[in-house]
Amino acid sequence: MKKKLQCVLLIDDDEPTNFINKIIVQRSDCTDRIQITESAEDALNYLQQRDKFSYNGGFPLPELIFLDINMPKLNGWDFLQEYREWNRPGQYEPVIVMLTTSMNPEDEKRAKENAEVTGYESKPLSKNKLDELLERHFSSYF
Amino acid sequence: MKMPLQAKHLQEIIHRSNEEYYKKMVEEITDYAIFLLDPAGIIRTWNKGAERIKGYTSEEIIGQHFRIFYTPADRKKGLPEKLLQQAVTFGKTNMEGWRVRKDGTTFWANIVITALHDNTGNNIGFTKITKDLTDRKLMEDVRQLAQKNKELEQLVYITSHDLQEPLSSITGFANILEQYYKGQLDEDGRKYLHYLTQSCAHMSNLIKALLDYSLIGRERKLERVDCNQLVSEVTGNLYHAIHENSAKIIVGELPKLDANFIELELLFQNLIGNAIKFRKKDISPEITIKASKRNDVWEFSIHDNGIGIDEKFQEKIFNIFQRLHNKSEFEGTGIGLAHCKKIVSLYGGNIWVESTPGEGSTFHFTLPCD
Repeated sequence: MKKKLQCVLLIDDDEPTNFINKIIVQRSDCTDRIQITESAEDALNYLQQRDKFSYNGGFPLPELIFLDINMPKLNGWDFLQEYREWNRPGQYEPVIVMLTTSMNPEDEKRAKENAEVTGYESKPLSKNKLDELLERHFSSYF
Repeated sequence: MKMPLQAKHLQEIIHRSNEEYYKKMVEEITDYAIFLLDPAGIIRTWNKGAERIKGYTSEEIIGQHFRIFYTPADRKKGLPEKLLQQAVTFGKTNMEGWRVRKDGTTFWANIVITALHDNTGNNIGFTKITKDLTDRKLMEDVRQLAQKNKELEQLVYITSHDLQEPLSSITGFANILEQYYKGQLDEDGRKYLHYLTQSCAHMSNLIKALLDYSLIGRERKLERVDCNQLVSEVTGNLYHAIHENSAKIIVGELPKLDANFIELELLFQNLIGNAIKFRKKDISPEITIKASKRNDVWEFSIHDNGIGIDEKFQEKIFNIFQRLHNKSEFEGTGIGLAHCKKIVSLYGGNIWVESTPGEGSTFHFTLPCD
C-alpha cells in the first residue's frame, strides 16, 4: 500500500478475537494504529473522544471499524443506533464491517438493511478477508 | 302454562317415588361411571356410564372387588384399599390416574369416592364416580411434548451459536500459524497444524448443521409448490455433482402441493445428493424420482442404483449425525437425512428406505394432498 490508514478500530468483548484481529491487521501493514475497545460504550467514547479517550490533541478517527454483534450491555446493533444519532464531524464516513460468529440469516439481512454497515463477515477475520476488504474499499491507497 | 309431555312424565316419576327417580337418574347417565361399593370395596350397583367406560356389564361386575379396575402396579401398592381408607377418614377422596378396562386397555380416569353413612354415623359403603378424561390427558401430554420440543430446539440453537465463538478463535489462531509460521515448523509440526485446521473446519460444519437443523420449521410460509419445477431447480443446484459423475436423473410427473419451497428444496436436494454421493464406483448413477397418490397422501420415491444400505441401519440413518462411513470414504456431517425426517414430520408425513446392499436404495416419503 502506498498510503496507510490512520487508524483501524476493533470492537469486540472477546479478548482472543481482538488479539486475532490485531495480528491480522498488523501483518497486513495497512495501518500504524490499531485501537482495541472491548465494549460498544468504549468504542463510542473513543470515536467521540470522551472520558478516558479525552486527551488534548485527540486521536485520528478510524477509517475502518470491525464491529462484533453479540456483546454484553450495548450490542452491535445498539452501537449502530448511537453512532447514527452522533453528530459526526463533516465528511466522516468510515467503513464499518460487522464481524460475527452469528450465522443467523436474520442478522445478515439486518446488516444489509443498515445504511451505515459496509460489510458483513464471519469470524475469524483472515488475511484473505482483510485483503479483499482493503482492495474493495480503499483502492486509492494502493 | 302447558307442560310438554316429556316434562310431565319426569314429574310423574319424581312424584311416584324418590327412590325410582334417583335410580333412573343414575342408571341412565352415560358420561360418568357411577356405582356403589360396600365397606369392603365390593361393587353393588352399576350404571350405563360404567358399562360404557369400563366395558363390563352389570352381570359381569356386581359382586367383584373394585380393585379389578386398577393396574397391577397400583394393586401391588394397595392403592384401591388406600383410597377407601382416605374416604373413610376424610369423607371423600379424589384422584386422576390410569385405570384398566375389561379388554385390558387403559384410560385416564378422574375419580371421586365418597363415604356413605347411616343415621348413627357408621360407614355403610361408598359411591364411586369416574370420568374418562383420556382425550384431555392425551391432549395435555401432546401439548407438553410440543413445549419440551420447543425448549430443546431453543437449547440447540443457543448452544450451537455459543460454540461458534470459541471455535472461531481456535480457527483464527490456526489460520495465523498456517499463514505466517508454517515455514518455521518442521514436517511433524506442519502435520499437526493440518489436522488442527481440518478438525476446526469439520467442527464448524457440524455446528452449522446443528444450527440449520434447529432453524427448520421456525418461520414457515406455505405456498403452491410445483414439485416438477422444484426438482429441476434442485438438479440445477447439483449440476456439478451430476455432470462429474455422468448421473442420469429420470423424473416422472410430480404433483403441486401447498408447502414451504425451501424445506422441500432441502428435502429433495439431500435425497438426490445422497443418491449421487453413495454411488457404486464402477457404474454411473441412475436416479428415478416418482410420485403417486395413496389414499390422502402423495407418496414420493427416489430410487438409485448405488451401494445400498444394510437392513440393520435402515432406521438409524435418519438419526442426527448418524454416519455409516469414514470421512475418507464419503464426506459429510451425517445430518442430511435428519433434516429430511424433520421436514417430512412438519407435514405429518413419513420417510423410510427400502434397500438391498450392492443393488441400490429407494427412499420413500409422504406429503399430504390438499
